[in-house]
Amino acid sequence: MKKKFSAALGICLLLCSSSFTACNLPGLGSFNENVLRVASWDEYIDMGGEVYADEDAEDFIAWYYETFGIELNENTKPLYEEFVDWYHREYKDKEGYKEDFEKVEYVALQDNETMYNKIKMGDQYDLLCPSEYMAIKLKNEGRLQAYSADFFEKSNPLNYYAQNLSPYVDSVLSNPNVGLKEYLAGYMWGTTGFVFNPDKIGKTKEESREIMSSWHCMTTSECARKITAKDNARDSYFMGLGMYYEETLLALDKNATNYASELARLMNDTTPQTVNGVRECLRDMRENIYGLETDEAKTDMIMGWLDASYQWSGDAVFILDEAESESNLELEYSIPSSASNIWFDGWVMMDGADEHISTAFINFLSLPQNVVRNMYYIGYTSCMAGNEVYQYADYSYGDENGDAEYSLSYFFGEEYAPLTVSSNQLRRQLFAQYPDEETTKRLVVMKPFEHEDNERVNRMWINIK
Amino acid sequence: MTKNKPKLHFSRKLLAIPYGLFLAFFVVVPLLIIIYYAFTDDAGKFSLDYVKYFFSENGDSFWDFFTSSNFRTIMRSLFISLASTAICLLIAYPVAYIIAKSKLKNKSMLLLLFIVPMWVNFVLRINALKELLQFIGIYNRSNGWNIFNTILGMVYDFLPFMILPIYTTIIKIDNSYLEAAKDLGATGARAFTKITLPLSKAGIMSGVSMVFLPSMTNYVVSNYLTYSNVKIVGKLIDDYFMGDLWHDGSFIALVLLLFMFLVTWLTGGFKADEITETRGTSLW
Repeated sequence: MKKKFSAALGICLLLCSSSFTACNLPGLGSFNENVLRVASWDEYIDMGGEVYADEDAEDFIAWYYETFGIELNENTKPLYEEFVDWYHREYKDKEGYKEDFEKVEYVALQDNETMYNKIKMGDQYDLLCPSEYMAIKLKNEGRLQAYSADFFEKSNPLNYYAQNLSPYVDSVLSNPNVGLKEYLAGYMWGTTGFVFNPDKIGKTKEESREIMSSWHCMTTSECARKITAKDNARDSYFMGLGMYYEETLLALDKNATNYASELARLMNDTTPQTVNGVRECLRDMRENIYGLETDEAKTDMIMGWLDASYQWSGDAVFILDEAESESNLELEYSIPSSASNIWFDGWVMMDGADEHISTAFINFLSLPQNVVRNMYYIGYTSCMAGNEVYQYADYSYGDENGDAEYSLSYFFGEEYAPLTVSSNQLRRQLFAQYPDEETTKRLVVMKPFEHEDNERVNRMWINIK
Repeated sequence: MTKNKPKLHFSRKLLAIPYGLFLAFFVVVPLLIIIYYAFTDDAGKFSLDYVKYFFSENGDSFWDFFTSSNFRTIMRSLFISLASTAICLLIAYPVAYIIAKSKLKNKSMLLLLFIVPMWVNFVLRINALKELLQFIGIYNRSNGWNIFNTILGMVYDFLPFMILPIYTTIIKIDNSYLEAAKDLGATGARAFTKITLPLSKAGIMSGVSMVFLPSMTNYVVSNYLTYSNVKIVGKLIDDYFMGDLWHDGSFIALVLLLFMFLVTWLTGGFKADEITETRGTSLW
C-alpha cells in the first residue's frame, strides 16, 4: 500500500511540477465593483519606497522637487495606491463618480504570454498593459473594450492622457494598419537594437559600429560567441527577417510613398517560403552566438563578460547606465540600418471593465509628475510628451558644454528646441530612449502572427533553438 | 461539559477523503486535460494532427522523427538523467552507508550536513553554482562543457534525494542479520553484497526515481548553467506552451508521462508483493 501511495505521490508531484512550470496557474480573479484590477507584464508602475531611499536617487529627488514641488522619500507610496486618494479628490462631484471605490489591485505577470494564458483561462482585469502585438491579438479575439470618444477629448481638463500624448506616438497608434486606435492608450515605447562594446567587436570603434549596424552581425565571425539573442519566437523571427531581407530593405527608396508599407510588409512576412528562408538564417545565427537569454545578458553586459546583445531599448538604457557606473565601460546602442522594431506597451480595457475608473487611472498615470516617476522607476520611455517630460530628458542627458544638438521636435512638438548634448549621447542612452527622427522612419510595428503562421513560426523556432 | 460533546465516528475510509479529493483535482483532472489537448484540435474535435508534429516539424513523416530536434532533445534529456542518477547513486550510497554505520552519537548531525543545502532555495543554489563555474572558466565554454555543467547541477540539486532514502533503509536493517552472516563465516564484503545491498534495494529504487524523473524536466538547471544552450524535455514543453502550441505541448507531456510511468514500473514502484519485505523500511 505504501509503495502504491508513494508511486501515486511521485506521479502526482511530477504532474504538478511539469504542468505548473509549463503554464503557471495561480488563482484566477474576476471583476470587482469597488476595486480596479490591473495587470502588466513585469513590474511596470512606480512602487515608491526603497527606490527613493537609495543614495543614487538623491539627485533625481532634488530635481523632482524643484520641478514639481513634490517630495519623494522612502515613505512614498506606490503610484497605484496614491491613485485612490487622487481619484476621490479630483473626481468628486464629477459625472460618474464612485464614492465606494476602494483600491487598485495590481499584479505584475511574467510576460505577455503568461498574461494571455491567464486571460484565456478566465482571469479578469479591468486594465491590462500588454505589448502592442498582444493587444492586437486580444482585440482580434474580442476580449477588449474600446475607449469611448470622451477619453480622447482634449478639452476635458481631467483628460491628461489626451492632452499629453506625444504627437509621434499618436500618429503611430492611429495607423489603421496597427488597428489599435480606440483600444490602446500608449504607456511606454521603444525600439530593439544591439547593445555592444565598440572596443571588443571590430579592430576599431568605427569598424565595430559598422558591423553592429547590420542584422548580419549575428552570423559574422567578429561576433562569434560574443553576442546573445532573445529566447522567444517573436524577437528571433524578427531578427531572422532582418537578416533574410536586409539587402532588399536597404535597396528600398526611403523617400518613396510606399516605403513605410513596403517595410511593414517585408518585416511581417510569414509565408511558408519566407519561414524556410528565415530558418536558414536563424540556424546560422544559433551556431554563431553565445546563447539565448531572457534576462541574463543584462548582468553579463554590465560586468563586461559579454560584448554584444540584442535588447529592447529600455533595457539597453539600463545596461549602458550600469556598465558605466559598475565597470567603467562605455557601451553603445545601435539600431540596424535596414529596419528595426518599434514596440509599445499600453493600457487596454478588458471586455466588461469599469471604464470610468480605468480611464481615470490612465489619466492619473499621464500626469507629468507621475510620468516622470514611472520613467525614473522603470527606465523606459513614456509615450507622454509635455514640458516636464522634455525637461526630464534635458536633465538626464543635457550638457551645457555639449558639442552636439539633438532635435526631439518630432516627439514633443515643433515648439521644443533641440537638446544640447555631448556627441557620444547620439550613440548611447539618449539615442536608445529617443531615437532621432531619421531612424524612426525605418521602424516597423510587428503585428501578431495569424493563427497558422504563429504555429509555423513557433514550431520552426522551437526546432531550431 | 465534555460528556455532552457528540462523539465523532471516524472510519478509516473517511480519512482517505481529503487525499481522494486532492488526487481527483490535481492528478486526474489535469491528466484528463492533457489527454484532451493532445488529441484534439482548436475546434475541440478529435485530431491526430498534433501527434504528427511530435514526429517531425512539418508533420508529414513519422520516419523523420529520428533526425528531428524533438528526438535529439529526448535523447539528450535521457542521457543527462541517466548520468545524473548514476553519479548521484555512486556518491550517495557510500555516504549513506558511512553515516548509517558510523559510531558517532550524533549521526543525525552528519546527515544534516547533507540535508541543509536543501533548505536553501534551489534557484539560489544554481545561481551560485553558475557564478562558480564562471569563476573557474568552464561556464558555457563549449557544448561538451554545457552537458557536463548540466549534469553537475542536477547532481548538486538532487543528491539529498538519493542519500535520504538509502540512509533510511540501511539504518533500519536489523544488525542481527549481519552478525549471523559473520558467525557463519562471511567476509565483510560478502555480508555487504548478500545482506546490506539487497535489503537497501528499496531505498536505491526510491532514490533512483526521485532523481531520474525530475532531472528529465528540471530545466531551470539546464537553462541557468548553459545559457539555454542545452535543451531538455521540460524546456521543450514550456516552449510549446509559451508559443501558444498547447496541443503539441500536451502531447509531449503525455509522452513524458508514459515514459515516467514506465520507469516507475521498471524500478518496481508499483509492485505490491514487496510490502512485506520493505515493511518498516519504506520511506517518505
